[in-house]
This record gives sequence, C-alpha cells and structure tokens, in this order.
Amino acid sequence: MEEIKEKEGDFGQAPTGKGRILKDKYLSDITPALQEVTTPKKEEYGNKSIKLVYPTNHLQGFEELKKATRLHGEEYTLPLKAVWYGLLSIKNKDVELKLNQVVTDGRIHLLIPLKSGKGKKELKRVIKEVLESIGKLVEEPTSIHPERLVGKTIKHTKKGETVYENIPGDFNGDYLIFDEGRTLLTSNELLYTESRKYLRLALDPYPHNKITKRAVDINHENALEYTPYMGCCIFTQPHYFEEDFATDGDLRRFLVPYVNMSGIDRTEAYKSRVLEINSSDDSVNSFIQFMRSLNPANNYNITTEGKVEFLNVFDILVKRGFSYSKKVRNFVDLYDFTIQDILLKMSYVQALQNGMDVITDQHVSCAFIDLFEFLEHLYLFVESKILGGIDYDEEWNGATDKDKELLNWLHDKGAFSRENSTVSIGNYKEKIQEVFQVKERQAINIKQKHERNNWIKSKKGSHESWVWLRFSPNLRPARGVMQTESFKKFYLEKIKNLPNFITPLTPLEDLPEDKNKWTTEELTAAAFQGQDEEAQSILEQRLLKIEKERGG
Amino acid sequence: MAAHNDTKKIIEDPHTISGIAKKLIFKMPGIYKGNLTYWIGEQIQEITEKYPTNNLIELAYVQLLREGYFFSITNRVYPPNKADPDEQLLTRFKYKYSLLYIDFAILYELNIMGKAANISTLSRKVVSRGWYGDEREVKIRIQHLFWKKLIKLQNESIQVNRNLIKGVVG
Repeated sequence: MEEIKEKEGDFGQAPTGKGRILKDKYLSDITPALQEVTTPKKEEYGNKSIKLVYPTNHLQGFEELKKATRLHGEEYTLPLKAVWYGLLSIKNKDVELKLNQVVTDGRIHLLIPLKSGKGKKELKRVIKEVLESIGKLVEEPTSIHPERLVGKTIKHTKKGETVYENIPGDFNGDYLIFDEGRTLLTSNELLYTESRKYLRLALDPYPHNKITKRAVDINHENALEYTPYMGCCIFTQPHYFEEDFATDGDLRRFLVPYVNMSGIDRTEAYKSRVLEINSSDDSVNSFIQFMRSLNPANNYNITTEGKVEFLNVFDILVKRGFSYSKKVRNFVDLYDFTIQDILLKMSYVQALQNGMDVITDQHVSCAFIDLFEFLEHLYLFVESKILGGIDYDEEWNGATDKDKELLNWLHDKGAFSRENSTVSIGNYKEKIQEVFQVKERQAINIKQKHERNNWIKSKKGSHESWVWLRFSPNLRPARGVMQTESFKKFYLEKIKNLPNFITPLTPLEDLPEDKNKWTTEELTAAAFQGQDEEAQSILEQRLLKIEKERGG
Repeated sequence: MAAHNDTKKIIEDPHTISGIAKKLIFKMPGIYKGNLTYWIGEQIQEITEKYPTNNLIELAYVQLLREGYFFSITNRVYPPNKADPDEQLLTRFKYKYSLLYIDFAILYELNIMGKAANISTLSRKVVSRGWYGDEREVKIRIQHLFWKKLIKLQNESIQVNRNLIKGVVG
C-alpha cells in the first residue's frame, strides 16, 4: 500500500512534461491571434474584452486531431475544439440526456464560418475519415433538395399488387456535412426554405424529432417515418446574415466557433507547415483508436455535485451574455435555454472521454471552460455578422435602422416630454439630414412620417420649438450584470483547476551512465524489475561493502 | 570455536541463506517477499541463535535473481519458470518505461483477465483488487493506455497489446 500512496500524487501534482509546458504557456503567453475576441466599439459596461486562454490539455486526443488536420496556427484551436466535441458527441447513437426538466440528446452540431482557403477541406477530410473508420455513415449532399434530405416512398406494382418502398434520405445517416451552407441557411427560395424546415426538425432533440413524409397518393400506413439521430456540420463563408437567421432558431441549433481570421500573423504557421515532421496518418489513426475506445453507453446520469456546479456555471454564462451588449442581450434572451442544453451536451462529452456514464462536477467545469470560449466567439459573431438588433422591433414601436437611430438620439437627449425636451425642430431636421444623408426638403417628409407613426411630437412656439418622444421605448434592463473582471476571474480559476489528462507515460529518467553513481533504490529497481545483470553485481558489491563495514 | 565459525559462515554466506530461501520458495511458490524474509530469519536464528541482517538476505535475493527466480511488483517470489511470462514481461516493461503504478496495475489485471468487455469492467476490477481507490482516475488512465496503444480493442474486447510490449522490452 505504501507504493500506492506514493504514486497517488501522480494525478494531483502539477502537470509535468508536455502537459506542464502547455498549461504554463496558456497561462502566461496567450495567443495573440485569438486575443482578438474584442467586443464592439460601443461599450456599455466598461472594458468587455476577456483574454481567453484556450486550454486543450483536458481534451484527450486533441493534439492528434490537430495534427491530423495539418492546420497550423493557433487561430484554429477553437474550430478544432468544436470539431472534437462534434465528433465525440456523435460516437454513441441514441443518447438521451435528462437533467430533470432539461431534456436533450448528445449531438452537438456545428456551424463553422471559415473564409475560402482556410482549411475547410482539411476539416471535412478528417471528420469523414474518423467517422467512417468507426462505422458511421457520412453524407455530403452537394445539391440540396428536401427529398434528398428526407427521402421518399416509392410505389410500384409487383405481381399485380401495389408495393410501397420507403427510402429514407440523408437524415437517416450518421453525419451530414454541408459545404458552402450559406444558401441553405439564408435563401428564400422554396427549395431551401423547405429543406431548412426539415433540417430544423431533424436537429430537434431526439427522440422528439420524428420525420414523416407522405405523398397524397400514399396512405398513412405506408408513409415514410423515421427518427433521425445524425450530427450536422455546416461550413459557410463568414458573410453577414439577416436578423431572421438568429430569431428563427437556425442559429440556436449550432455551436459557432467563429474566429476572425483577418490580419492574423501567420509567420510561425508558414514555418511549421514547411518544417514540422509528423505523419497525419498516424495522428488520424491514434484519434480513431481513441474514438473506438470510448464507452458505448447511451444513458447518462448527473451527480448531485454535478447539478450544483451546473447551476453555478450556467448562471455565469447567462450573466456574461446579459452583460455583453444590448444586441447580445437580446440574443441571449432567445438563447438562454439553449445554453443549458449545450452545457449538458458538452458535459456529457467530457464524461464520455473519461469512459464514464456519470456526469460529475469536474466534467461540468471542463465543459464550462470550452463553452465560455465558444460563447464569447458566438457573441462576437452575433455582434459583427448578424444584421439588426434582434429585438423583433419591439423596443422602438416598430422603428428600424435609421428611424430607430433618430429615436435613440432623442432618447439619449432626454426628450420624453415638451418640458424635458431640449431638441428643437431645427436640431431634429439637422439630425435627420445627417443620418439619412438627405436635403432639408426630404428631412421634413421624414419628420412628418415619424409624427404620423406616433413616434414623435413637435410643437412650435413664437421663439422656440420642441421635439419629443411620444412613447417610452421598451428597453429591457440588463439582468444580473457583472463586471468583466469577475467573469475573467471565474474563467481563469476554472482553468487553474483543470485536470491534466495528458499525463505522458513517463520515459525512463536520464540516470547517470555510470551505474556506480546510482542510489541503492535505483540499483534495486534495475536489478529486480529490469533484471539488469550489471546492476545486480553493483548492488551485490555495495551490500557486501556495507556488511563488512558494519562487521568491522 | 568451530561452532562459532560455522555460525559466522552461515550468516555471512549468502549461498546458505539462499539455500534456505530456495526451499521455502519451492514449498510455497508465490510467497510474499516479507514473509520469506521473516521465515529465513527464523530458520537462521534456530540454527545459529542469531538473526541475519537485511543486507545479507538481500544479497541472497540477488543470487536468486541470477538463478532465474522472479520477484514480482506485487511482492511475490516465484521459482524459475513458475511465474507468468506475461507478468515478467510487464514488470520489465514497467521498469524500462518508469510506468506509473496505476498503469501497471491496469495492464496486470487485464493480463490476468485475458480480455475485458468494456472499460468499466476493467476499472472496477482494478479498484476492487485494491490497486487504486478512484475508479474515475483508473478510467482516465485506461484511455491513456489506449491512446499509447498499450492496450487495444480486438474482437470487441479490450486486450493487452503484448506484441508492442514485447517489441519494446526485447
């Protein structure tokens, strides 16, 4: 038992070797490229940017996955983390996750915005290779048609009898990859809107995502019906998206590892791409081996400590969203329950990588760190790539864009009544000219439109005039706002407590070549366990010498 | 005087101690090293009325090593060709690669089991045999061994990758 106690320290000690280097590096030298998770220029609650650390030493097989993709540069850490979660989440089929009222499945779907030539092909190759090696069916539809995705029922006659044959579509596979998915996600053509509807249904939590398709000439018994359990990865260029994309729920179903790759210094990446010697095949094989070794359970429980930790970290995640900016606050209003679902899914993946069917507080903490990073990038995506304010135009009585900007200006000036207003009709018209870039004549028309819509009222006196708002904008106050520093502290604290799963198998320490310089313990180990004859002789001489000295 | 010399010879001559040790080991293959040391001490004391020092007994053990006796990590001693060759292989491997005790335990238990249906079965075995107290950490180490290809999945079951270990130990 003594030996057991001695070795117990191996797990609790500070990471050694590569693990330690990684951890130290992450804590001291944060990747400059990824620090660019800067928040929008207009800041509401002080300095909002948080320097993210992007640890990966709690993700088994991550290094192998990274090497397999041959993508150099630390800006890929986040997309690769997402791919790691996506792949592991799909390993076991039909996983249902229940945390009392939180009911979801294990699948994590990805929406990866990547510019052209930034490694989409490599990611796709690795996803396909890994999943196909573990017996998964990967589909990559090039032409998108609802029938291709869902399938159809074929009716034919055999020996005078009508026979129905159900042919399920791509949703019946295990993984779907859409290259250039922007059209699928945004186009208003019927073909795409239909496909999108079916896709949303298929990505709903299993097993409540049954897909049914019945043509009018086919009776109910023979209709095509199945419950898909497939993962989905959509690659897209980082274009702008309409507000509907966020409000319709398309965005909610995906994890979005968005990294702004413009202007990143890639000098190191160029070098390592040319100089680094590693076999991508070996790395892929190691990762496949790791995937195969995962526990095939599909029923997971969460411990009481896990639930407490879950609530704790979820609270921080939501507060972070509400403290970010007004637009993100509106987005988080739609996204908060999804954050719970994703946190549960990622905690499940953490348990899965440890070969456990119980989710513990440790798993939740690990998931939190990654989800915190994903959400920071998602908020950046929402801020910079989603048009509009994601507020359903409720805040400003239906006013949008430039009209809203003008009303907001009035609001900032405190013009809520004639008595309070310091804005004259002349000021307002000037502001209209500035915002709309129009001449005075057109500005008068716009002011009149605002009055017709009951947004503003104006009054002209003998020497002065006033303009004021006719309604109180429905501005939702930020809930549970916290200082950025508090989030940062919480996040870094979790990272410090990360388990170091990548403890290398320690190779034999470099002992002195001259075995006479070894300690008796080192000699004993070499003599007894290593069956080293030279060590046996030296040990013998040393013991005899001790005996003689003792006798003398 | 002659008697005194005999006693001195018996105590100081590791071959005599090793002779007693051999008899005990043949009688009880797999005897714990601590028990063996105790019985050697008792028998020597019976003959010579003096207890041998630990160093002398260790010297005798080195002699036994040369004759092919096997001292396992689990502190058992076996006569030549009586120990499990796989265990001997694993012991040498543990030494050569400074394998963590827990990693050795996993390989050792899996070797005894032959194959394990899943990770949980194996981790439970390791914990129930008293190698380590935390099943979660055992599972983490199992994953790690998979990753290092020291254990492999064959015919839907987990097995020790003997070929790799043999290749490494030589």
